[in-house]
Amino acid sequence: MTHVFRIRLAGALLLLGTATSAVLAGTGPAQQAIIANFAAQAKAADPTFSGFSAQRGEAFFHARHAGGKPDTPTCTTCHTTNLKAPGKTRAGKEIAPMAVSANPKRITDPAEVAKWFRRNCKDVVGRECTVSEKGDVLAYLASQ
Amino acid sequence: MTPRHKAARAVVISAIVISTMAVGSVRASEYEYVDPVNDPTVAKECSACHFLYPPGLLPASSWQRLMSGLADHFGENAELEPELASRISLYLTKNAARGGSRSGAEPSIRISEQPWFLRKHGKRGRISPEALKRHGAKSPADCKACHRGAEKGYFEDD
Repeated sequence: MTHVFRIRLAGALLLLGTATSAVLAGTGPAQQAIIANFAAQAKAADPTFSGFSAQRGEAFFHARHAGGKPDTPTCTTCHTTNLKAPGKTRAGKEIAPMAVSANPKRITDPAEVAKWFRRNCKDVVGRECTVSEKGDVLAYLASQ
Repeated sequence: MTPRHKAARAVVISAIVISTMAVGSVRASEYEYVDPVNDPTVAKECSACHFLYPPGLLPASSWQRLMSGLADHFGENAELEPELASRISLYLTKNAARGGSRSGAEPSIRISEQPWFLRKHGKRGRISPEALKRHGAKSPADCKACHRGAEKGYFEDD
């Protein structure tokens, strides 16, 4: 093994370690179990599934979607672009921060996760979200 | 039947007629108190997005219609697991305002369209656009903009 190769391998391992820990930084067993469950579903649906991406989740969360209701085109309409700060519902009620680091209760109840994805995907995206879209968004929220 | 019995029967019948006529009457006492929700599940689910409206502000027929249309809840998707929705529906209808809409008419699911609401708020432009703006109310559905004690069930004039 050459010296250069050894450095590259170490770098790759470090990068992999960073990516994994970034997703799970600050998350507890409850969040990890819920995300693992989504990952199992994604793997069952697509054997080539290679993991959720916080980056893809970030893009999805901030994107303007065309299929939903005109007054709620993006997740940030209510949740704002600052995930560590509270958001506001259409009726004016405060929404607890989405970032797990700012709100440790986020992604700890599977029924709540299912309920809000079902409602909000239909309103914002105009359809139910796919397992990979949901997993990516969860990975993003867990990384924040 | 003696005349006395007849009179008693007439009283009973009029009482029934009068109570039936109290169509959609809000379940409020004279000092404008309406029992707040006292079920933790109902409180959690019905206050995630908006003010926790007391069940006594709508008749049972309105709650039934509202709870069977959660996919389009005033323009928002508020769907619940069917079992949870039935439980909440049961609580709301049990604690609903007395009476209901006249037979045949589709009951309004808006509290702000109930006859008692319009009667109480129609005076002196209480929910005119200017009045709402003055109180920082988003709409006539924003009870606590004007009724500071609304969350505890008090709706007297402030």
